[in-house]
Amino acid sequence: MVKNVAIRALAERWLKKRISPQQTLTLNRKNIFIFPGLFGLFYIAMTMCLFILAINYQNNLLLFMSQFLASLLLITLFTTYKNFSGLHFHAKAVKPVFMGEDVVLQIKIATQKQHCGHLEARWRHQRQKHLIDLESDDTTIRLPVSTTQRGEFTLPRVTFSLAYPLGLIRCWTHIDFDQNYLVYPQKQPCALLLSSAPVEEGEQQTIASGNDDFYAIQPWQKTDPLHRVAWKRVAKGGDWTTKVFSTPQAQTGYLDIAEHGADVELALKRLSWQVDTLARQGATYGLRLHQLTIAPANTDAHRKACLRALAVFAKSTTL
Amino acid sequence: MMMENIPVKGYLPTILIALFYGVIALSMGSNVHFWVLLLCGCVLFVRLSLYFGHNKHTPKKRTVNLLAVLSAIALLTTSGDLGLLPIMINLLILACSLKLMLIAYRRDFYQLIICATFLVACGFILYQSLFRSVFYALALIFLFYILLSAHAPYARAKIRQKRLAILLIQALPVAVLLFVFLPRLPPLWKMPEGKQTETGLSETMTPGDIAKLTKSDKLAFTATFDQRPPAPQNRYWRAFSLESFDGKTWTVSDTRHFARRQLQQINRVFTPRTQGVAIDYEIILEPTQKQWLVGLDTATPSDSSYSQNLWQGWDYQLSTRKPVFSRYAYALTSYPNTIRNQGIGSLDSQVNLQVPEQGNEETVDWVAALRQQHPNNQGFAKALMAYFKHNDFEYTLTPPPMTTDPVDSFLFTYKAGFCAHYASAMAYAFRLAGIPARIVSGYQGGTALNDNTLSIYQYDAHAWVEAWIDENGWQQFDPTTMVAPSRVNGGFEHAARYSGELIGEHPFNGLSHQGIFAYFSALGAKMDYMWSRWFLGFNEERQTDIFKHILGKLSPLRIALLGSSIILLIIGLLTLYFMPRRQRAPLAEHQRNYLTAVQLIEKFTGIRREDKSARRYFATVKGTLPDPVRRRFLTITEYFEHQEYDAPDPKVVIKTTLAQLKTALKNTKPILGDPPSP
Repeated sequence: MVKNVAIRALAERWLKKRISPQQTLTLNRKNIFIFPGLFGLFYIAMTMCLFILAINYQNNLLLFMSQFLASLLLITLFTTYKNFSGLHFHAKAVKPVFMGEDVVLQIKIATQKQHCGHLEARWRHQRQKHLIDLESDDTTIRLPVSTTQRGEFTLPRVTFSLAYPLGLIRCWTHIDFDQNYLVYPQKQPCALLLSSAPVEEGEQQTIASGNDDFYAIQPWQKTDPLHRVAWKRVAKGGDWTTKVFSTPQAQTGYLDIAEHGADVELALKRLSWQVDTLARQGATYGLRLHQLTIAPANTDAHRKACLRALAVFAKSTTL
Repeated sequence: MMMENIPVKGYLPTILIALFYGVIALSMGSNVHFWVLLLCGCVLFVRLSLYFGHNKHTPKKRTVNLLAVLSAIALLTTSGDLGLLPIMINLLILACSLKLMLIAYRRDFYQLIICATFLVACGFILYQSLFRSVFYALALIFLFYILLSAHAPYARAKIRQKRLAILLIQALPVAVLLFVFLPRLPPLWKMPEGKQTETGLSETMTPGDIAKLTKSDKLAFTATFDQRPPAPQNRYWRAFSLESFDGKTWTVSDTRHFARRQLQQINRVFTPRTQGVAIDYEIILEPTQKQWLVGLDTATPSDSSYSQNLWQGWDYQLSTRKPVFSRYAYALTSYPNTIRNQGIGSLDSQVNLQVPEQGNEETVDWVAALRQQHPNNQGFAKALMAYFKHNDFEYTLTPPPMTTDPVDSFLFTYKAGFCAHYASAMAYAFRLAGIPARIVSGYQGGTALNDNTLSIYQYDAHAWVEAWIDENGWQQFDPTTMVAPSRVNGGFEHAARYSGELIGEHPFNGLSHQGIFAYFSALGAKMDYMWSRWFLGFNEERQTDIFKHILGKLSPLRIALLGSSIILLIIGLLTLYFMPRRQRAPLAEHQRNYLTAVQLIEKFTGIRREDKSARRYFATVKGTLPDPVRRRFLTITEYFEHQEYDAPDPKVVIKTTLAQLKTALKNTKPILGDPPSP
């Protein structure tokens, strides 16, 4: 077992030197592996059997057949190689996802005239296969990775293989597209807890009345705008009440992990939902994760920075 | 790669391979049991109904397993009289038919392909005529077509055919080179002799046996003479001699068999003292599964290289060192005037004087009386022949059955029979008179294929007598000629047609002698002959001839040179096929435009792009470009990157920008005269 791991690590290191990580890659002599597949090995065994049979029966027809089969193997060796080399891969940068969603690596394959047949793509060390027809118009392949953990990960190598034309010879390569991907904590809906002041000033709930999400109903005050009055209630003969919407618009505040209890993962999930929601509302918010503080802002880059912080929070130490 | 799971409905390769098995099973004819054929047909039907979606699910695995057990039992009980090869073929077809019902994964498909290739190979072992060979070659090509279709399912049929044709045409020259120049190896181990085939001479002869054989119009062998072939009455092709008689049946003598094996083991070869005229000819023998060879008396191997594989016995019989499983070509020289008085006297007389102790009493008395009249051996032989001539004997292929004392019944009761009856009676009479005698089984006659070539068919099978007459040694007597001279002069076909016995056995036999049918059957026979002579008969000797022709003289150095040049030739062929052609791949419009722009910029700045990426190149040159040029080049570069790596957007037309770039470059001509250094 230990030996296995060591061998695998060795192979990995060798592979890294052989096919270095890059986003764009053209297949050539240096990054193609070629060997008969299982069917090819059986084919070779059969050809040898036929040859021996031909010798023992002194049968020229059989002899010619076995030699023809051997020649065909030789020809397909080159045909398969020619069919595989020259393929050009370009991976699009992967987009971060929330945990539970699939990360999708999108690879565009540029083909030339000589390329045909079925290309098989799969993640290295995985069985799930995706087939792509090299002669079709759309040669873009999308490989999904399911996510079960938050954090930052490196995409594994992608194995492409091709056995055209007869399935005897198999050409393959393991490409590292040099892509890292972020998995944000899963979104867990909860109340928005935006503290407006630094932690030292105490907890303060700052819910501003906005337009988006219906939050609660409170007694009507003279200052409240008329369109917020819950007219249905009034019509029924109830008290005058105002609908309050929870949009902390234009309000600056911090999302703080300290306010979400001891369960760090749950807290992160809630924060993740809040960041996403606030960003959608265009609110300005900051993030405070114990030592790490991100100053309030409302840009997309800010949202990404916050989510990244949540994704990798306490990961570097645990991993 | 092919898909891992094979769909049940609408998947073309599955139905094609089912079809393939059906056709192959049908083509093997009598070698495949009828019930196996039936099963194969059922499977094809099942596959078709699955293909068109009439049935949704393949049969249950348990059902098929049960079927497999039943079939195995059926095969065991019905294959008792089949040879090893037909049993294997039946088993293969059976197993694959059952597998076809269940085919679900890629590996099942591959297994079926491998087995199918084996079946084609079995076809080549069983049948070697030109017609059959072409058929099985086509079957093999069809198999590759199925395989290719599975790996390129979306390509149109025509494109698939074209690609397969290219593959096969590329492989063919390599295969031919290997076939012609790869050294021939001797058999690695001795294959067991086959069972008596339906045609071919039988090594036991109970008069009545050859009647079945003479009706077969299959080719036995062809003989090609250097000069004109001998006259019809001299064409006695010896195959083997039958020397043991039990009163009913003649068989190959065990003593002779044993002696031959011992002599072969100590590597003693009999070299007959030959005399007189020599006749040179080559024979291509159809597979017999046996070791005996045919030849005109007295035959010797004409070339020393043949004598390695041929063995001459003391009974003047030629045989090979391994059974003839495929068409076999050999060259002989015959000396018809040789006096055959050599041999192992004690063995010959011991074996050839043996008679059964009882039975055929009437014949015993008759011979004793005749011997008293003719104490001279030569005279006795003449008297025997005369007896057949003058006592109203009749030549017929359908004599009445003679079960008890067959020689008595033949000679004195029925007086009707064919060569086996006459030869048996005469050889027995010789032995009773104390003259060593035996029956020779072989062929008589032959149909001219052309001036120098004779085709000898199975219906030319014949039996005659050899007797040791004093110092002249073995002499040949054919009592049949006394009764039916046309049998020997006109050939069997002539005699049988004359007596109206052959026609009606086969619907085309009558036709085959008329007009266009005769023309085509002769043409077919000629092509088949050429096929056997140049392809099937291509053996070690022929190969050596080719080597000699190319090299002049065979020395190790020259052979090594030839070998390496063949390897170089194959490498050359591969280079020819697969060298990247210096042809431009058709470029997309945005690529063309970008490359034009790059050319202009390179000319302008003197900085070459080399292998830089588009963006990197722009960064390199941007400092040297005047503003209007730079702006446009940036647009072109960005557009190129966008088209190349993002979603292509056909709406943007970059041509105008390119034109603008050109004008901008023209306007800055003064700089061109003073290019900035890179």
